[in-house]
Amino acid sequence: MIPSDHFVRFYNEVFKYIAAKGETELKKYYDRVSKNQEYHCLDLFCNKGLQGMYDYWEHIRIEENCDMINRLEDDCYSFEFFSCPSLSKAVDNDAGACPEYCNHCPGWILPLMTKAGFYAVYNLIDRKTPRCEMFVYAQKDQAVRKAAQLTEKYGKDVILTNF
Amino acid sequence: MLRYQSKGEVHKDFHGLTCATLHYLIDNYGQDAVVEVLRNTAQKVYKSIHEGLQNGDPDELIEFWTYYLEREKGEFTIEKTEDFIRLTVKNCPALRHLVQLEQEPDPVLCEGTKIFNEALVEGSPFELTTERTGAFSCIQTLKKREEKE
Repeated sequence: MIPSDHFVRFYNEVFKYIAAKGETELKKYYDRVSKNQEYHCLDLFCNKGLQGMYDYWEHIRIEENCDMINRLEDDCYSFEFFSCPSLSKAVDNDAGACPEYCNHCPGWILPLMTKAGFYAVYNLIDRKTPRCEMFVYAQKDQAVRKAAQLTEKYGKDVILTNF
Repeated sequence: MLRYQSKGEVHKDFHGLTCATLHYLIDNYGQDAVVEVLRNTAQKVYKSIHEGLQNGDPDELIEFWTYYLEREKGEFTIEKTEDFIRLTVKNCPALRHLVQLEQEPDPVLCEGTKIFNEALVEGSPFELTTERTGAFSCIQTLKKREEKE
């Protein structure tokens, strides 16, 4: 059995294997992960909207021992990871981290946000440090403004959106 | 001493994703992909366990079994004799959690454990056999390889 606690180190090896198969292969895999995550998230996000996102990541914050903050405002749900446990484990790893490791989060989250009818801006900040943030809006113009603001500050390579 | 020792809550939903990932690898890249990924996991991620076994020392493997099966509240025993060390899993937490996720106790996880175990002892004086004994149970036996005459 691969312990739940070590899943990300196995996942990291999966990413290395798939990345070596070609540029588009990881995107296909993220789409499949996103499909699987619909079981946990889609109804919650569709029926409860931003509150549902808050509830989901609050559960994750506790169960995955995350050093993060969840914020729920009238028109925006956002999270900020101060120390992502997933990348931290991938880095604290005798096999070494896959350079594309961080991409899997926006890879599964963004398609799910599209299906739920929301606009998301994911800021990876820096793929080598375990920090990131995401902002989700019901209104596209707010998301566009946020993406522009973050792109100016962090650069377009680390800002990913579903619009 | 264990190389990786996790604390705090346990997010068992990852067992569902492990299962889905093994199927994804088989469906898209074939069985060889599963072998390569699990071999790399066993020998590179768990480098210290693998090297310990290569040096004839199974202690970290036993510690790994004990620590994580206890953490995930699995039902198991470990029997040590002069001839073998046997892990008997009576109620596997990974397979049991699949049921909570409304999935069948998928043998792909057991097959994955078998491949992982074989990679772990590669190049060592041990063999590690994995026998599924029921929907949620298995026996894993570590013993010295018989010397060929």
